[in-house]
Order: sequence, then C-alpha cells, then structure tokens
Amino acid sequence: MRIPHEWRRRSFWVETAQAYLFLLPALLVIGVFTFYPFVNAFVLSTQRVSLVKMVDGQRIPFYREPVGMANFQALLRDRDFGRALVQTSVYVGITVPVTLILALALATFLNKGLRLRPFFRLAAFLPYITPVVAISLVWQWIYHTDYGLLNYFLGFLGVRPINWLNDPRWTLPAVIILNVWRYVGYQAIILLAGMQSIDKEYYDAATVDGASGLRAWWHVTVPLLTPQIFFVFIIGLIGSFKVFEEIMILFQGPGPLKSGLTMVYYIFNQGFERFKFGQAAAASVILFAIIFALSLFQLTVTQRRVHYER
Amino acid sequence: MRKKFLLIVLLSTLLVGATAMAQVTITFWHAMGKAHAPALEKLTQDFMAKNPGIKVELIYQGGYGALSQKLIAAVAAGEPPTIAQQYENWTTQWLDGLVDLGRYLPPEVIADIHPRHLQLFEGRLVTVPFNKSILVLYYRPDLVPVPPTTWEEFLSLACALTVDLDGDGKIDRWGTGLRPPNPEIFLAFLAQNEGSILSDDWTQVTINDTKGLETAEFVAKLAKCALVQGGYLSDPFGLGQIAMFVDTSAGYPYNLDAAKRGGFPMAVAPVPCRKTCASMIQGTNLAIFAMNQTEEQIQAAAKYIAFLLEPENTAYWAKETGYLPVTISGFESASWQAFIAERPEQRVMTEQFMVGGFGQLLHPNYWDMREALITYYELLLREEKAPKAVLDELAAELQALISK
Amino acid sequence: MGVRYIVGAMVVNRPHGVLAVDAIRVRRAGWQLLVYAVLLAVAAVMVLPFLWMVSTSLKTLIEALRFPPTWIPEPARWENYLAAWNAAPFGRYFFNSFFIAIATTIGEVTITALAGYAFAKMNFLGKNVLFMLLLGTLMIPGQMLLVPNFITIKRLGWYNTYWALIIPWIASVFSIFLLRQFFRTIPDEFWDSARIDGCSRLRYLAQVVAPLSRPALATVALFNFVGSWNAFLWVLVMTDKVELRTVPVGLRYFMMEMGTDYPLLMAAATMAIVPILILFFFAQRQFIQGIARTGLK
Repeated sequence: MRIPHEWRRRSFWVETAQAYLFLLPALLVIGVFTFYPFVNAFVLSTQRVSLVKMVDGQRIPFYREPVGMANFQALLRDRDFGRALVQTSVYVGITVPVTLILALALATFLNKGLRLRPFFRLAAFLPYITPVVAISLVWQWIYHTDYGLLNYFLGFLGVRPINWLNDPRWTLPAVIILNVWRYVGYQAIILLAGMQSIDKEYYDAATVDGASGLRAWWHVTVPLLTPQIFFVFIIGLIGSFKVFEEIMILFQGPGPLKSGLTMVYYIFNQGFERFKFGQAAAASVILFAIIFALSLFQLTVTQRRVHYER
Repeated sequence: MRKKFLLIVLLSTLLVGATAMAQVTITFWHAMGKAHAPALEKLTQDFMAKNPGIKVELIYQGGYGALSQKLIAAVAAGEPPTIAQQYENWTTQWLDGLVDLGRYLPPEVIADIHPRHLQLFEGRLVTVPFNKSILVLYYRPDLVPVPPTTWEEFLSLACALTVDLDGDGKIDRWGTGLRPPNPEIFLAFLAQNEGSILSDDWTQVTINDTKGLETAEFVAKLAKCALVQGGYLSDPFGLGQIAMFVDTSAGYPYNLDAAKRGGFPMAVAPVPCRKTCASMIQGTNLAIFAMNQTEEQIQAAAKYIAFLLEPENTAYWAKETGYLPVTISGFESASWQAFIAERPEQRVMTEQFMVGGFGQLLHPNYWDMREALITYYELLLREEKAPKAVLDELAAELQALISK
Repeated sequence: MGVRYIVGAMVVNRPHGVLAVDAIRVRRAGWQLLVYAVLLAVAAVMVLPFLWMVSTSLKTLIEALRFPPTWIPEPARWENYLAAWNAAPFGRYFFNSFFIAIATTIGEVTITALAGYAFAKMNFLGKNVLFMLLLGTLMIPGQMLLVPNFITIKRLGWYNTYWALIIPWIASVFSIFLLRQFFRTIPDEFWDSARIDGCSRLRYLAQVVAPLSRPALATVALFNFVGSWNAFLWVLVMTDKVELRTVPVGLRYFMMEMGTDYPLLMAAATMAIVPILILFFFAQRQFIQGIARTGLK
C-alpha cells in the first residue's frame, strides 16, 4: 500500500476538514433520515416484527426477532410478489422509452417553433408541477367509462367505450398514459435546454459536410445531447420503478385482479396494510437491488457512448 | 353593569376551576366522517359535561385506511392513543398492547352487550362493539315490486333485470352489483347455506365442501347478472346502473342520497335466504391501549366507553348514524323501539340482525385469510376460474395459513 | 422520409434557380406550420385535463354527469369555489403549505449550496466514495424508509410539529447533484484571485459563486418548492392534527368527505394548483437556464 501523494500535504487535510464542515448539515440530515433508515431496512428484512409483544410482563413495541432468510423465501412463494415484479417491469419497460422518445420529439419541435415558446413550455410543464393527488383525481374523472372525456373523444374515432378503471387489461395502459402525459413535458424541457446549449458551430460544420435537417439532428443534436438524454433516462427509470400513489388513488386499491399491483404498492401493502414489515423490507431490498443493478449497467454502457461537449 | 361584571368574574372563576379539575386527558382516534361525526361529538360533549375531570380529545384520522396506517405507526412507536376504533383483524395484530376490558368495565355493562356483537380474543374481552352495521338488500321498488326472499328468486330476478336498454349491444343496467374487495357477502351466503370457512376447532378448512361449492356456484351465476366493480355501489346505483344490491346498513344514507340524485325510489329488505337467513355484521370496535397510558387515563377511557354503551346513548348513536345499537338494553329502549316503529327500513335492519347477524372469524391469521378470500372471490366474480377450482385453491392457501 | 427530403432540400440542393428557391420558401413555411400544428396539438393534450377540471368545477353535479359533456358551464357556478373553500379549512392548509415550502426552500438552498460547493470545488478525503454513496440514495424507494423515520420523528419529539415537515426535507441529494454540476462550470481562476485577496471560502461562495449561479439556485428552489407543495404520504403519516395539514393532504381528506361530488372536488383541486402555477410562470426563465447548464457531464 502506497500512501497517496496528496496525503503528505498539510493543506489537503485542512481542506478536508473545511469540506466536511461545509457538508455537515447536509450529511446530518441525509444520515438521519436516509442512511440510517436504509440500513435499518436491510436489518429489518431478516427479522420478523410484532407491532407489540408481551415479553416478561413488559409490552415491547416493534418487537423484532431474527428469522434469517425467511422473508425472502416468503417473497419467492408469494404469487403477488411475482405479479408485482412482472407488472412493474412491463410498466417501466413501456413508460420509460415511450416518454423519452416523445420528449425528444417534443423538444425538437419546441426548438424549432420559436414564438410562443414560454406558453408551450408552461403547458408542457403543467402536469409535472401539479400534485399527484389532484392529477389522479382529475384523471379518475377523465377515465370514467360513461362520463369520461377520454371515451368521449375515442367515440369520435369509432372506438367503443373502454372500461379503463375496471378491466384488468386496461389498468397498466391507463397508468402508462397518465404518467407519459405527466412526465413528457418535464423531460422535453430538460432536453430542450440541452439542445439550446449546443454551439451553432457544430451545425455549421455539419452543413459544410453536407449534413443538415434530419441528418444533422441525428449526427449532431442527438450525440451532443447524450448527457441530457442519459440524465432524463436514469431519472425516469428510477421514478418509474417507484410508481404507486397514482394507482392507489386512481383505482382505490391495486386495480381489478390486482392488475395495478406494482413493487412499491406491494411494499406499501405488506408494511402498512398487512403489518408484515420484515417482508416489506425484504421486498424493498430487492427493488433497490434491481434499480441499483440497472443504473450501474446504464452507467457502464453510456460511459462509453456519452459524447462530451468539451 | 356591576352585576354583569360580578357575573363574569364568577363565571370565569368557575371556568378556571373546571379546567383545573380537568386533569385527565384521553385521546380517541376515529374514522367517522361528516355524516357520523356530529353524533359522536355530541355524545362526547355530554360525557365531558357529566365528568368535568375528564377531557376526551376526538381526533379524526380520515378513512379506515388512513386510520389503520396511523395506528400501525403509532403502536410501532409505542405511543398509541388511549382509545381507537378498529376492525377485528387489526386487533389481532396488537392484542398484546390492549387493556383487558373485563377488568375495567362493570360486569353489568359487559353482560348487556348483545351476544351477537360480543367478541372474545383468546378468551379475553378487549374490544366493545361501536359502529356496527349489517348486510341488507337495497332495491328499487319501481323495478322490483316484491323483493326476492330466496336465492333462486334473487338470481332469476337479477338476470331478468339485466338489460341493454338502448340496444347498442352493451348492457346498461344490471340486476345487481358485486364488489370484489367485499367478500363478506359471499360469507353471508355461505353461512346461509350452513357452510363455514373453518371447522369449529379451526383445524380444518371447510370452505370447499359441498355447502361451499353450492354457494360459490350460486355467486358465480349471480355474477353474470351483476355489475362487478371495486368502488362503492352507491355510485352506479345512483346512475341507474343496478336494480338491487346487498350492502351494509351503514351505507343507507349514501345509497338513499344516490337514489334521490337518480330520481327514483329506494327500499330495504332482508338479504334473500337459503337454509338460514344469516347476514354478516360489519364495522369496528373500540379498544383501550395499555401502552403509554396512565392508570387514570385507562380508567377514564373505560368510563367513557361505558357511557357510550348506556342504552339511551347507543340508541341515540344508532338513530343519528344508521348503525345498530350494540347493547340489549339499547335495542329494547323505548326510543329505539319508537324509532323503528316509524322507520320500516331501520326495522328491517334490526330484524335482520336479530335473525341472523354473525361477526368476523377471530382467528389470529384472519387478516391474511381475508386477503386470500378477496383474491379468489375476485377470480370467481370476474369468471377467471370455475367455482370448484377457486375453492380448492383457496382452501389450500387457507390450510397453509391455519397451520402456521 | 418526406420530412427528411423537405428539410434537406432547404440547404443542400440550392443551386436550381429562382423557381426552386420559391419552392423552398413555400416548403419552409409549410414546415413552420407543421411545427406549430404539432406543438398546438401537444399543448392541447397537456392542458385539456386542466380545462376539463376547471370546467367541471363550475358545473352543477347534474351538468357534470351530462353526456356528451359540455365545455362551457351554463351558468358558471363560481359559488362552488366558495363552497369548497368553506367546506374545509383550506385557508389553514394553504398557510401550512406556503410556510413549509418556503422554510424548506430557504434551508435547502443554503445547505445544498454548501455541500454542492464542497463536491464541486474542494479536494478532500473520501470525496468520490461519499458522492457515489449520496447518488446511490436516489435509488431508494421512499416508502422503504417510512416506518423507521416515523420512529425517529417520534423519538425526536417532532411528531405533530412543523419540524417533522421541514427538517427532513432541507437536504436533497438531487439538489446537491444539480448544484455541483453547475458550480463546476465556474472557472477556478475566480477562486485563485479571491484567495489572494484573502477571501474565505464561505465568503467566496456567498459573494461570487452564488450570484453567478442564480439560475441553478432558482432551479433547486423551484424543484424543492414543487416537491414540498406536492408532498403527501409523509405529511399524512407524520401529523394527525387538522392544523398541520397541507393542501394535498387536505385535498385527500376532502375527497373522502365529498365522495363523488365532482364539481366541488375539481374546484378544490384547481385551488391547489394555482399557487404553483403562478410561481412557475415567474420563475421559468431562470429555471430553464439552470437546467440548461446542469446536464450530466
């Protein structure tokens, strides 16, 4: 083991002390409200919890006893967990790319249509800044089979009324539509900001090389936009894995035949509706592992492909 | 002027004295919304007027879902409220944290609880019934002149009333409605057929015997003539989409309101019968938490609960809210008898209770069992699986749960 | 393919005489028209649910249930808003939401600017490990932390206080990340010359970095404000007093109370959105700039 060169400098240690002073408030809050409960969840995943247990005449709240891997084994046996896993994957697999592609298209158009841009920007951003509770409430009304706006418009196209909220086949599509609608504008605005920061010189160079229009878009815009695309993708991915609140409010439950049961819904259901904190913690450990693995994979793949402006 | 001044001084002295005496404060977490809260508030005011040394803080926690989540978190943190409303399967989760009411309530109060409402957990009395309702049949007299009294009548009538009114090939009105998250209706029919989930000693699953299968086949047939959806049935009922449905008596004001909005009459009848006329009791109970409470608080809470069980008070509560009285003397009280003499709907509910009211299974794993029931009940209603397959698979899951 | 041809034609195939140029001009106008048509259609899809919400909020229940639906309520029942406002203590809810959002935003901007600066411009032991650890927390589902956090809040004696709704939300990793990205674009020469003048890091951060980073700080502030305004489950679990309810939680209780009275529900939902809308309208320029310079690099 060699001691790193900088360790020998006194100024390095002074700066380290200073830096930690700067970081102290943030680390304190994040440590107490994120790291500590996170580690706690890992421990919890190997325990069985009784809300309250009488031990030697004493009432012990949140009584834990170790059970090894029993919670994980219970997950493997639970068909609902498998269902949640599959449904979440389908949801993420569709929502993330669809939102990203639409957002990219929208950003391209926004980059062209120069007048009224503030208005379009506001319109695109509106769904993102609205409370989920309010959004789900409005969409519950839009999805109404008989009185809803969506079936009304689909009626013009000759589509028979769809039972959005009471037909298991339409549960995931309903959630996907809602969330694509909700996030496409937000993602488009981040991508648009990236597009606008691309130096004009690149396009001029492309023009000289005989590439313009769609070709320039593909060969200049998209590669130079990879940092933003990557950012939007990863944020979208992580966010999509956590889909839950809108389902709870939209369907007042996990949907017909549990067709809207997602991972986080499962965790919520096990923990806060069925009192099985150990199993809920085990499920959240698995969810975390999935997100972590995917992010890591994403990182290594894009590491090689991200183009840097500088 | 002077007199007035003196009066104010006197009054404020009294007030200060009263506040000084109010040494015991107890908290009561409930889920009674705006239709039911005023009656609870009035009773609580009356109680505090009679007992100036006790202050009862009513805390509304939103719906039952929110209440259960808040209670879980509070019990886990070791700081539950003094009193809380709770379903039986919640109670089993924190049984060790509850006060044995047998030690705190006067024996005559306990003896007065109506036997159909009386529930013991592991042989102990830890809850008393509070907002209790019973399943009855709601129907539209304009479509159903004579309410069905047997399964066969119910089924044939429901199917006759299931029609495509505007001829677009889509059914606009169903004979009845069934809610997958509410398997209690199935359990009521099962009890009517003298079937049960478990054997009396809880060692055997009996839901898939002949009685269970007959029930499941009947419900499956009924589902074909029913609107199957998760939300409360008062909404489609108000829109004219269903002609009759089984629902708890607590839904009465909401269903009546829906019928009024839809512009048609509504009436109440007993649930159609089979071998018996059993019907399931629903609603929550009250319990006192022993954690984080002083002896004074527990005694004050017991006093408050005993007050709510007094005949006039439980009758008042039932009259104002649409729930049932919970004590024998409450049912027999002059005011309740006078009330149901005037209100045929409420009389039907009381009679339904007296004839066949039964409560939830008090097995410690009933929470999980009910989850399984809901899952398979939905498969049955949505015709995903045949009745026999549904019951056999359900029985296997239940067997695993009781042998745990 | 068609689009590609048209777009390509504008610059590449120029030398074809006057006629071709005219054709190009027409095509360019057509292209502009297409862009606007698409943008308008998208804007319509985005805004329609909100218009529908506002429209329903001004109807009677009977009119709301009419099919096919009407867009302009006849007559507009503005009293629905008064009824919704009076049906629940919305005044209090709004006060709480504003108070909490402002307090967390001030705290968040200060604390994450300090942390973001350390990560962007300082060299210290464990920097990379710590930064990766922090980024990792972005992947943790919040529901996973709810129960342990509840117990912590109880132990701290913060249950049913504003502390519980403010302190845990004044340091988001996402904000630290955004600010770090932005601070990194500030040339090091500034610090070198400031240091020679005897300026401390803290003063440098406050007097040089912060003014230069106004768009990024605005972005962080806006994200935080929106997040705080919309927070739901946390507030629901950490409080049980009516006096501490925020707008979304109040809205949820209102939903449970009102059942299917859609006009009143929509009126309440509209009221909940308005403040955030106004805020975004005024902050959007700064916000866009902030986003533009914080992409992942």
